Amino acid sequence: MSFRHVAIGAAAAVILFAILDSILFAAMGTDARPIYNGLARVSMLAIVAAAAGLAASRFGWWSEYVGRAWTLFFAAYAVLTIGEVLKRFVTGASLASEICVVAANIALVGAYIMTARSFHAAGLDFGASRARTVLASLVSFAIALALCYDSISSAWASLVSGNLAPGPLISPIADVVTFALVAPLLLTAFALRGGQQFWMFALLTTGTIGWMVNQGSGTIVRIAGGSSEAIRAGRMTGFAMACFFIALTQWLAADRAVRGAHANV
Amino acid sequence: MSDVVVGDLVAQKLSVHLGPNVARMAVKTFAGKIGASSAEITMANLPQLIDALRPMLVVMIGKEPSEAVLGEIARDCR
Repeated sequence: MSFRHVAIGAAAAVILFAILDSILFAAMGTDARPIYNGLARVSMLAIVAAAAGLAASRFGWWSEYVGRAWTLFFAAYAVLTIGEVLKRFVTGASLASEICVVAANIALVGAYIMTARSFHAAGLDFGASRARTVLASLVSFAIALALCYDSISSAWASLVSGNLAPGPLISPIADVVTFALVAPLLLTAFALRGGQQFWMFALLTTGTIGWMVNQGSGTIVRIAGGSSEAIRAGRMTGFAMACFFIALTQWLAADRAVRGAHANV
Repeated sequence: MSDVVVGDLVAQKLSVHLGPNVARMAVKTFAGKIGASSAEITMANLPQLIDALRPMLVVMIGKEPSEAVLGEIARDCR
């Protein structure tokens, strides 16, 4: 099976999940919905954490560059999983959940910076002009800011009104940084086209775009005049897209490390 | 094997992982670091080029896969 087939399979899995999720959610009672939402999100985050841990262990955790990025992804998703469990299923654990969100976002920013800087760390460059690189970075930063603006402004308003919960503010700020890093990830993937590493960066970028869909669904659906069900469906699809594609990237990386550099998948 | 083919063969082996554009750029960049051009890579300076490529490849694909690729380059260029 080629990388292309795996990517098509992952896209099909996201679409299938989105359809099944909408049908299931519409069919279940209002009491069951929060439990279903919580279980679905915790399960997907746990899958990414497990895949990241596998990749990090195969690349020697902190002992080599690739391993460090996967270690940070593992830390971020493991802590996000714990935070999600605390938020959804443990009453009175909001502070602990907030701390988890902040810690996970810091780790995630570190992971994305390391991954986006791979070319620089390797002593390579994109082969693109400086103007093109700057333009791509500015466009992705503007999109990131537009997607996160609502969340940042409402969290800031809440903070200045005396609600000292940093999680809701730090999370979208971290999202701006990670979404802005889509530009170097895309440029790296584009430069690597024709090689196996293209798929690693392309799948990771697709997963990150999934987080953008998750974050931006509220704003986009609201502007389009969609319902709250449409917002939830958009967020869940983005969430699944992010988790499926990022976990797949990590699994493929781990698999290649074990089966050798020439393993197709 | 002619001298010119050595640089091309290294790029060809790297292109499986890095794609043809980055592979060619990597050979050019790291050949330059050992004081040669891509066309000047011979069996004599191939070990130096392999040593120069190693840290780059470790960052891009990891330590063990890098050793497999560099070992294959050394073997196939003989």
